[in-house]
Amino acid sequence: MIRAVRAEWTKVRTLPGAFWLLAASAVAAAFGRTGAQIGQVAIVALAVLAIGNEYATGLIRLTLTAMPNRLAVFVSKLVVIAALTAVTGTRQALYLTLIAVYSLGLAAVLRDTAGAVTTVLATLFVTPLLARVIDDPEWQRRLTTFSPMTASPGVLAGYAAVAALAGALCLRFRDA
Amino acid sequence: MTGFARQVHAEWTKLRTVRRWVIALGGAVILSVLLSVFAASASRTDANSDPRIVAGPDGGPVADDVVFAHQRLTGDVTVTAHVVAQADSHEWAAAGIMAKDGTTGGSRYAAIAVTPRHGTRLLADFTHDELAGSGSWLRLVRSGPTVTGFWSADGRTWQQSGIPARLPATVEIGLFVTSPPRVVVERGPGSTAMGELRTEGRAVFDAVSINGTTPRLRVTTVGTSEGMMSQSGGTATVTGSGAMGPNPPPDDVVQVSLFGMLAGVLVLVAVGTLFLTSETRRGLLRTTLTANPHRGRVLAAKAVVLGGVAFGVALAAGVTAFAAAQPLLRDRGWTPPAFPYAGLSDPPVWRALLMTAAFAAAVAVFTLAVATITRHSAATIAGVAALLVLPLIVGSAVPHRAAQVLMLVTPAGGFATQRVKPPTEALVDPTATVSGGWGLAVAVLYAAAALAGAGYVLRRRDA
Repeated sequence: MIRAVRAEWTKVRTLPGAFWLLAASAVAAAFGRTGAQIGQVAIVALAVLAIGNEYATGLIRLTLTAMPNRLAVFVSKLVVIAALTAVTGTRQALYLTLIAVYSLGLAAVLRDTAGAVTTVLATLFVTPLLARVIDDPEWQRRLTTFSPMTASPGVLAGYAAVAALAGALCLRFRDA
Repeated sequence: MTGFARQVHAEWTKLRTVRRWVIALGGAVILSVLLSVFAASASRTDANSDPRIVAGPDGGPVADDVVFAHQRLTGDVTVTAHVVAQADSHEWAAAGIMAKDGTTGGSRYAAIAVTPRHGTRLLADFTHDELAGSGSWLRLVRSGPTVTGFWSADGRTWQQSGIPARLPATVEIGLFVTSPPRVVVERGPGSTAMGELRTEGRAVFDAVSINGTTPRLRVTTVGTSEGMMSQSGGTATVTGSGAMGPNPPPDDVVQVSLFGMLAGVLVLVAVGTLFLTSETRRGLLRTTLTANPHRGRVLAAKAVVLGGVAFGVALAAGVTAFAAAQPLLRDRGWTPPAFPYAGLSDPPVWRALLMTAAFAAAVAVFTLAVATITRHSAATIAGVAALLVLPLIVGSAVPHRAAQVLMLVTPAGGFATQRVKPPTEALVDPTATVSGGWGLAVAVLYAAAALAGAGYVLRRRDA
């Protein structure tokens, strides 16, 4: 497991743009909640890339040949990305880490960098704006409660858990 | 085919033969329509229960709140009055002579009035408001079908001008006073509180005469106005609050039905990125650039194809979303007089749809150019999406001025193209702080600047 985590750490470390994405989110997160809302965009990109890039280059087949325990591969990715986000996220660490896990899980399901980034950002951004444009109070309440960006940490953790589980299952039972 | 046309054709072939992209573009239309329909089905308005909004002569929403001291008269008539004093209760307070088709809210009228700061004005039917000159002696003459306003500084030498009004044979005619409320807007995180403070206008008239004799006037407070009149011979004092004029609520029925375009634009951002990065990733760009050594032209051809496709997709999405959302909105209170029915044939509506499509095209081209510079799919999509959406979220929690600046320095302001109403301070939505034209101009500027930068790096860099 340690070896798997180290392998993932090396891959993330050498991802093109990884340093800049992390730096951007760390700087933004220092400005509190609004900063984190801006900085999360970089975290989403990084977390999606961690798996999306392997599918794009075909590296995933090599990875899974070298480490047949697919769950270990996925968990290692989660650990590395979550740890990086938690360390750089300062006071917004919890929120950003949950967003990172959510993004990584969704990316494992979609297996496509562009598709996953767009889907994650759409779920993050469209719902708060929708809550503003509508004026049915019941729907407004539902949207603010369940929109990932405005939801409580508990609800967001639920999304992250479901996405991670779905990602793990997809990786485990689907051809790579 | 010329060289450039051939290149455009080549890029078009690349775009339409990637099945995922075609599916994504179709998905952009479907997503936009579904989201718009959902937004419409959860949007209710009670603007029509506001007593200050009544149907004007052409059915549009008007305010008709006025204190009116009047007499009923049929046929030709001449009314004269001298405004001795007018309180400076509001810069657009008015005091003068009016002929009106009854005292029901929204009825036609022709008037001449003095204002504290904007001279003597000729007014008619809520929409006509014209500066005549200055002079506190006023006269309104109705002769056959024509109504003429006269004004004078001394009561001896008069100037005159026609007033475009269509009045019936019998009208209520006399003195009136209005004074619009002061609007107070407070913006907080996610909400805007708009309050109105009543102001009271007051004017003293003398030398009041109708057809040469001193009239016996009775007072009516039309609409929600409050005030009174006291008369003693040819002298009368009138107080009153309220305004007469167009009074559309700030909410925009076209904008609500185009909300889903946000999702469609995000999909276009993804396709715009892949249109370039999939070539760099597979090394196809090297082949492309070998076949067309003029690199700037390759980029231009890509921009033309992508911009054209984005325009078409956004236009299809906009027209469908609008058509699908309008009936839902009509069932939820978005009806005349507050919201006159909007149709695809109305010039403001199709102008908004075309501008929204142009904005989508500008965003797609901007994305393509950014992708050319960064050569990084995830960062490009995330960065452009953030630049488009975050100002909308942040802008709703900051003061009006800051929201306006945010809309003018980011391409997010382009979402203002979905509005047909003029900018207003009364909404939380930051896109309501700028006009669609300005928003679109900023987005086009972003696209042009990024394209220039992309052309530069493409020529200077190895592919």
